[in-house]
Amino acid sequence: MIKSVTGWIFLLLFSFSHSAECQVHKTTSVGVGTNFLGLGGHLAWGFSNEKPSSVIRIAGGINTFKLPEQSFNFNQVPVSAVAEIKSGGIGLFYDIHPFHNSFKLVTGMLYSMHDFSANINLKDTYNIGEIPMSPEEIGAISASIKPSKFLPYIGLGFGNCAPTKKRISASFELGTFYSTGNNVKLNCSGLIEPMNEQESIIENNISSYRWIPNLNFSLNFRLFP
Amino acid sequence: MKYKFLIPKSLCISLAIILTLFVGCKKNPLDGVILTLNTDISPVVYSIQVFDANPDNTITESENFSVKITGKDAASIFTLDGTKNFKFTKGFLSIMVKPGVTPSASKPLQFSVVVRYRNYLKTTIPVFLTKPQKGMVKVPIINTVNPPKGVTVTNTVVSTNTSGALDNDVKIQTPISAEKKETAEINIPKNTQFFDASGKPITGNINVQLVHFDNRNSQSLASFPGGFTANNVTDAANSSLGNGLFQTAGFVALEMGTDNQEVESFSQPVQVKIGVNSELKDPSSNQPVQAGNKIPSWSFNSETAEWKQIGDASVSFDATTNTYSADFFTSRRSWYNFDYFFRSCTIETQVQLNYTGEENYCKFFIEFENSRFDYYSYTQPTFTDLYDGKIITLPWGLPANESIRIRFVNPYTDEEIGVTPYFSSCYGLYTYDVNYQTNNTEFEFSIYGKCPVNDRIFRPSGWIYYQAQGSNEWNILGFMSNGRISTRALEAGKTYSVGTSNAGQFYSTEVTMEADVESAEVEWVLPEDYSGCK
Repeated sequence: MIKSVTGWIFLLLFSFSHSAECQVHKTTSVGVGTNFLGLGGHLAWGFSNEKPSSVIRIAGGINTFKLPEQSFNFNQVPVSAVAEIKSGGIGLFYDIHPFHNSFKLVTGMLYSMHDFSANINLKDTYNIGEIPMSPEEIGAISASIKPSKFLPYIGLGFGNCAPTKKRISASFELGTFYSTGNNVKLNCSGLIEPMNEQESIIENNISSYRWIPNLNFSLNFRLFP
Repeated sequence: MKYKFLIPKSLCISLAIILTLFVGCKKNPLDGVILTLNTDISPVVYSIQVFDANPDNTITESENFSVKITGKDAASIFTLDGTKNFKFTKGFLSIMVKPGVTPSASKPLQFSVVVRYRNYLKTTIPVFLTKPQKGMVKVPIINTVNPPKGVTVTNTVVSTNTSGALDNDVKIQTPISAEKKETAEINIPKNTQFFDASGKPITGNINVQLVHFDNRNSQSLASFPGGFTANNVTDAANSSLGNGLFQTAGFVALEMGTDNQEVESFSQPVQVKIGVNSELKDPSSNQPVQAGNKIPSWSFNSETAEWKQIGDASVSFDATTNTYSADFFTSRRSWYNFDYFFRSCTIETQVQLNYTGEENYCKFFIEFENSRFDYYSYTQPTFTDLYDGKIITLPWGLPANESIRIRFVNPYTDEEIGVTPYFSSCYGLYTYDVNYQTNNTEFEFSIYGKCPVNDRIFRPSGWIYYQAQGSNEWNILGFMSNGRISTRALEAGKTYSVGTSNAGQFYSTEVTMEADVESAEVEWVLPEDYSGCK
């Protein structure tokens, strides 16, 4: 995990050093848009005199949405689950336009505030012999999954986040964050409290959930010059 | 043109790679996650262990015992899997009170466990609770073929005529021996008819079993049916006497009936007579009993666990045999108790421990300074946990204003942990400083039951027992909550079986205590028809 993060940091530093050598600060822009992080915005600096060749962005966003309630059987017991995705973070990104057109490659690092949570409740009364136990007495499973705090990012797209010729530009981007691990927290209440011991099973099941996709669309406004 | 073609192709490839990375070959996050239930759902979990009062006998068929729960709160009593299928296994029965029913001083919980089996005297185990607790009680039961010392049994058959009446006087008497100096007898006059609970006459041959417990022998005293404390006692005028303690002059159990009907009453009074130990002291004079003295006599209602005074037995002296006896007349068949009754304190007496040492278990005995109550030491000790701040509530029914002390012993080795000074039985909260260390290291068991069909897991709560290798006796290890129990009872290098009684099954496993191992996980496969697996 440490190796992986270190590798991404080197890649970023290399990118910045490249831009620092070749370019001078030309434009400053702000952008608003929607992406995996939700509604967000960025502050961008373009580094090119003639054509946009690279952009450094500080971007952030936040988003919360609930998935529709799901019903299924868990160990032959009918349950209902409600999941909520909180995504968000703040990061530093570097866009490079290798062909001096709108196509760009993007790399960066996000400080993650992602939190994927779910609450699972029994749908019906559960009978222990002749004694009916209500779903409240049985308890609920509350699960939270958080990817690692720092998420390296790689992507590609079109459009300049720091427009030079026009005052406004549009940008589209597709990429993926990489999580070095997922932290699972179970908070089971009531009689199913012993299930908290099964965090490691879920952690193991989602160990391959490392890549977090990202779609980004933004409108960018040049501030100056 | 070249770029125009190249860029969409790159985009498509990248998109495909990203989507593959994200959704490809993923497991369901809940795969292998199992519904696991803590079964500690009741404020009261009670374990009843029956054992043969004669130490030469061993109970081997407790699974076949008939068990009935009676009393005002019987409806609230369930097995640990929430059913009413009460069944002993290896002499143990574990029961719980329905969740939501919490006993208190103002709303005590009262029920009785009635146990029957061929060749054993019907046994009623009264339970009276004023607070939530994880309790256990060891109950001696009487083998009528081979009874303990101090207990004698006579079995006979009486025949009635076609109208259900006796044609002659009938005298039934228990035998006397060198070890059993007193006898009991029932004298039924001719023309007596026998009635069942509905008042219907019983005709034909009636089986009679007369059992007498003397007040001399420790085995007899230790197996005194129902114990000496009582919580539901009324006098002859039907006024409640509250809780209290009996000092016995003798006990008679009379069982009568056919295969289908039990005799509950007689058409006319029958005489119940017992020999009286000449060393018995009348508490009012503190002198040995004399002819003309009265000994209160009581009958027992096994449905309500109520002791009711049915009169006073008159003491008489037989100069030819130089023996004392006491008798009374009754029209109800019952257990008969010739006992002095001592009312208990009106407040609860508790002992708070200022304890230094590792958390452990202990059992404690109550000892009286007054030798009148020496017999009480034969009753079964109470098993409890031991930690700093522990408050032990003494059993209800201790006689008021008597000087008592508590003796604590290690339940596994019988080593003495400490003895309190004498204090009043009505002291309230008594504080006692005690220190105890054992050489054994702490060992933790994590125990669970698994359903064979759907893999559900139940973390049991209940009493755990252990058996040393080579021994036939199961002893208490402690109370397991949520499938976990820590103990210092087991010695390194030795092999034990640990087990528990749950829903009519006894689950056990063998564990060898390795010196460098501090815990063990135990899985017991539950039967398919276990209620929680359905």
